[in-house]
Amino acid sequence: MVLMGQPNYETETIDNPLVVNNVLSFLIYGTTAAEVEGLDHFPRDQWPSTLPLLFYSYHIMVGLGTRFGALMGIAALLLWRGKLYSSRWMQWLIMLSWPLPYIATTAGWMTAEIGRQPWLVYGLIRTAQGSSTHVSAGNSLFTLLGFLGMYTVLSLLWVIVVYNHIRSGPLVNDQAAHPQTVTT
Amino acid sequence: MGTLWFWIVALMLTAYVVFDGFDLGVGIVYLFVARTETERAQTLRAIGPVWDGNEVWLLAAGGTLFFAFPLLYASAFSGFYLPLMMVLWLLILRGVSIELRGHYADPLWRTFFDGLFSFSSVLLTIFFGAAMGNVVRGVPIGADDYFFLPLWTNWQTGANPGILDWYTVLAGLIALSALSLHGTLYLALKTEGDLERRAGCIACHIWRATVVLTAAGIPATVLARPASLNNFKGNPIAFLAPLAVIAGLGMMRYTMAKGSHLLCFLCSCGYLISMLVGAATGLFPVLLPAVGIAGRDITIDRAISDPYTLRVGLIWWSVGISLALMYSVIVHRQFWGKVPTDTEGYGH
Repeated sequence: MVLMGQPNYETETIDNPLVVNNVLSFLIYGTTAAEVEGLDHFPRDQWPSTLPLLFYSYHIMVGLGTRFGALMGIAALLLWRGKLYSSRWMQWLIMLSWPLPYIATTAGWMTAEIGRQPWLVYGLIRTAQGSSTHVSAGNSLFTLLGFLGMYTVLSLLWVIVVYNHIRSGPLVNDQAAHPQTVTT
Repeated sequence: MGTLWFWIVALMLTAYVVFDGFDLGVGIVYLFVARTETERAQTLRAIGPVWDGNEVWLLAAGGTLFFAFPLLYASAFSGFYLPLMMVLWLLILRGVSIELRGHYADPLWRTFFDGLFSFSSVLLTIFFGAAMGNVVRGVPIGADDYFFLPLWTNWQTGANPGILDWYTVLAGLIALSALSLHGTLYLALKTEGDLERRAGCIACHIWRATVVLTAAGIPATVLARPASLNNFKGNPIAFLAPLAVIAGLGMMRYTMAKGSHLLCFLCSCGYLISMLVGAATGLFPVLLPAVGIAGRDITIDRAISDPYTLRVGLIWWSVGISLALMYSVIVHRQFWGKVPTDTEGYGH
């Protein structure tokens, strides 16, 4: 399995690979001896069209996921030893991690969507066959812009809500015990 | 099997109109009926626990269309692309304005979300009514079973209609008036004091508008698509639907005068159900009539899935719909009766 590297489309290899042998085979088939069929076993017309993007998004997703697991493991260990609330370096690490889940889910989504290309339904419909013939590009552009605008506004509203919540700080204990009496 | 699924989809859309109809209606009259901050909070609490559950019926009806009548789903979702996206935007804005309102303390923000809530409710209702109008009137289905409708052309029905023409606009207005009546009655049922009185008072006026528009709508439907009458001619029992519409309107007036909000609301449900059953009867066995080229109607037989799909689907549909029904019953029982006025805000 390649932990890190840069895919080279021309030579169909990965530059500067950081390799751990036999791990992929173990992850997929439960044994280190099985052969994992590579992309070179499939005809070119069934390859996803943006391989480097797929490669990076997949590795970002898995890398961040591993990092979350490790971080939570260490935090759980510290909590068990009673040191979590006093180790400032860990609290900094956790606090600075807040954007990472968003990046990880986006990368995961990209992996799923780019990875299944050129198929809409694997083996049945290709993406090119699934597009609406009667919906013009102008209509799609209009709705794309609409969604961009909609999500921009929603993100701004979200930022304001989150900012206000952070600024007002955590709830005091006696209020937290009766959350239904706390209204905004 | 096809007939069964036709009526299942009709039933689900009817459930959507009856359930989500009242919270859309509350949104339409929200700015006029609820004047003070307390009243607005009270109004939102009346629909707060149920509005999102009610929208399940729309999604479920869409899902059912997708697997029972794939041809209709593909054709209609492509042909109505632009208006459907707008409906989606309005649904998002409406949900956001209900949920975010309580998170902003500033009165200016609250007014903004109030306006957005009402605006999106009004437009959604008109869109849904116009959508129904389009389905009843028919669309220019081409030889490949697809079509694309511009938002408007010359405002005439006929071979080259738009999404909006005189008939679909009328259908939108009927929906606007019928659902705002439905919502006002629900509000009168769920609230007390000034709010209840004001809702009851406004309901009287909207009732009159609904009677006039309904009276215009039935002959207009025959004008827009004369074939709507075929099932009624062959089957006199089908005339029960328009009779029930008239009876529902009459009973609403009677129960309103007697001051029984619950009965009046139930009559409004009956009115909506018989309107939709009437429309479905007029369509059957066509799902989406064609205008322009004859014989291109998307019928049950042309659009229906494979028998195996339908058999498996019936099992899972029953399971899913039982869960949705259970949830509806539980949540409506839980929040039965008047909204309490003593607590502040719409709860989170």
